Amino acid sequence: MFFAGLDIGSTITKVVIKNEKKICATVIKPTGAEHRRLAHKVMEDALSKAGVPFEDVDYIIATGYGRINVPFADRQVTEITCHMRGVNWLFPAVKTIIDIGGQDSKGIKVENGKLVNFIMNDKCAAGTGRFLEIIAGVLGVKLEEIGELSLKSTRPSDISNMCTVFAEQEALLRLSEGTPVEDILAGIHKANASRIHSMVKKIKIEPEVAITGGGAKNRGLCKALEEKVGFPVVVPPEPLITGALGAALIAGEQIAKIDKEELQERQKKRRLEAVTFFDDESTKAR
Amino acid sequence: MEKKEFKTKKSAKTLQTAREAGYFGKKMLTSALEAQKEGRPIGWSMVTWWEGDLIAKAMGMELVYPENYGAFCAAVRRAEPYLEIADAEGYPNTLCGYARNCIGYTKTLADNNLEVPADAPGGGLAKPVLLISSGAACDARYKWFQALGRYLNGVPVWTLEMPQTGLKEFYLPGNKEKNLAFILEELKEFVGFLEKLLGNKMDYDRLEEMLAQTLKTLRLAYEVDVLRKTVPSPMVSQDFWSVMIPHLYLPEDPEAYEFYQKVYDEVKTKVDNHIGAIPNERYRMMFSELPPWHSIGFFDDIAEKFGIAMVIESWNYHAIKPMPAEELEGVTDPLEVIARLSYHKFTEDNDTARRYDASPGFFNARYLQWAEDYRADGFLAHPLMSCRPATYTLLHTKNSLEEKLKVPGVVIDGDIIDLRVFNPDEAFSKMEAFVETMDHYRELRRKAEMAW
Repeated sequence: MFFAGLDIGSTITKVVIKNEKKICATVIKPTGAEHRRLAHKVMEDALSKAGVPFEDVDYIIATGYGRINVPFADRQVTEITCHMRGVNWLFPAVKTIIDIGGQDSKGIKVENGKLVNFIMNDKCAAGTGRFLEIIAGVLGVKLEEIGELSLKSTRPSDISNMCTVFAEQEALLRLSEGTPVEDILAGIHKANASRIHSMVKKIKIEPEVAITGGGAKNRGLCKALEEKVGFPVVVPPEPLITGALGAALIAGEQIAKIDKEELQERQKKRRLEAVTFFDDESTKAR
Repeated sequence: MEKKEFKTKKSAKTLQTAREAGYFGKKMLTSALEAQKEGRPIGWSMVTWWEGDLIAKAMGMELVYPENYGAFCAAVRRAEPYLEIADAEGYPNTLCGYARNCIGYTKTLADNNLEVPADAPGGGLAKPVLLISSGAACDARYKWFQALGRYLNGVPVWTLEMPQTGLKEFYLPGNKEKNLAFILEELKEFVGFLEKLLGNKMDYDRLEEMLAQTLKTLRLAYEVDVLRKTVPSPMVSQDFWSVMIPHLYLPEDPEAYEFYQKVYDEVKTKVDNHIGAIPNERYRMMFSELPPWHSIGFFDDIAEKFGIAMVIESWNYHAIKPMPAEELEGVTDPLEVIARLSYHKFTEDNDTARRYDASPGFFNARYLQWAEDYRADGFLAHPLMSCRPATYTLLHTKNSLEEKLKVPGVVIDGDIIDLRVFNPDEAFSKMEAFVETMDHYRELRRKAEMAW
């Protein structure tokens, strides 16, 4: 039996195809402006990588910001639940998850695989991947390099603004004062870590702690967060896929709840195609 | 596949009486407009928890309530232009949404030579001769009406204070008596001020009549609250936020009492026949504190999708528990009855707070009691960037409920008036995840052999 999880995030789309024993394939691709039409393409890539025909996939769960745009999914599940399940499968001892996504950051508490509490920053870019992306652009550094570069800092700058626009100005000001880029980045990471930490602290941080999402790929941010948390944190080998993995795991559980006939009926009806509820012409990215 | 459409309009409401309650909001506005035509005095009043409004009404003043008008403007999606005017006047967007809506409206009134603009929502608020402000519950109230005076050619503002001592101080010997004496003195001064302003004497017989009617209405509204403890819930927050208008603003009006008799009968019928307000009640939640008036339909969505019934809500808007008989024994001065009534609103939960070792009684301890009484599965905290008093206790209450009673909470940010800071998709997504959290805590309560 095969089951799939699709996590359509604001910047990255992730797919995990699983069977009862192992992960068969994972695909990570930029979401882009056309994500509403392209979920099926990413799914095709994942199926091809796994060597599994679409008809053989028994249950599909979509999650993430764009989960509504996956017409071939059997069910949508919130990303909070999916991240929690994915991390719990990878690290059963983890009690606190800090997920740093493209447009939000979250704190999730887990106990025996159950969702105990959660908190989200969904009103402000501070503490999100988007914030770091903008600062990287201002400083002329590639996003994937800012973490390593910041670790070279010996005197992190004080960054007081957490509004993206004003932090951008502040970074430029530091730059014009001759502050080394690595110090500015270390300051930015410190300020972000502080912001994320104070949010997650509201749900009581308990060890073990895992960091997931795009932010977990940034070693500088992880180190700054680790310092704030006060004890070591774990990072999954591929921190981007925990949501999709959780979705695939839930899909596996769903199969057990559905009888064979219904499952076959669902598979027959399912079409690997783009959503149809858009006005195609007027919503196309130009 | 169909796209989920979030309701961004008014709630459908589950009670017939709730659908009829809008009459009272319109009645207040039209009565003031009528009074203006007839040359009778009009006052704008904050909710004073009966401290000021009964006295003003007994002296022949017609009152309208800018806070209620703010909720109304938001509900009919007419608040944004007023918020923009307030922004342009230099008021920060962290200021109370009711205040900003009111300031925006008042600016349009001032710009129209104090004639109500023809396109004002609900007919508009007629020009006042007095602004009755209150220091109870909220700090923005001190300055809001003072600011209005500038647009209204110096219309006087009278602020009524409410002593709000801490829990420990409340139990100090003589504290209550001193507080009541303070309120009573203040009410006497207010009567004196009104007599000068209006040029007529207070009609104490009329005040006593109004007070008697108020006590009857409040008791009946409280009895409706008691009926709501039933499982499945016969009435939900979407209904309450409509039916509360008469007891909060017009308790002295016999029509309000008649209305509550109808509400009581409707709710009682549902209780007797085990009819829930929502068809498939699976989770019972409490809401704190002020609702997103522009998006009450959101609660219909979560009811439909997850079987969430909002069974009790908004401490600040509820009728008081009836005062013990001894509280009014031998009290003949109607002003003292008012003082005791208003004081009771802010102290009635102090014993509860002591029992739960929680503080403050209002905004906090009440939810602990409600969680048990209403068998709550969860707590929805709605922090408002623009309202500190209705926000500062929320996380504390959420944590207390989790720790003391194993009732979890979810935080959904928003605003009473400003729909620009409410994200219904995000809120819906949080509720979807929170359902699992409620399942988990339900299991914890079961293991701890709690009553629900």
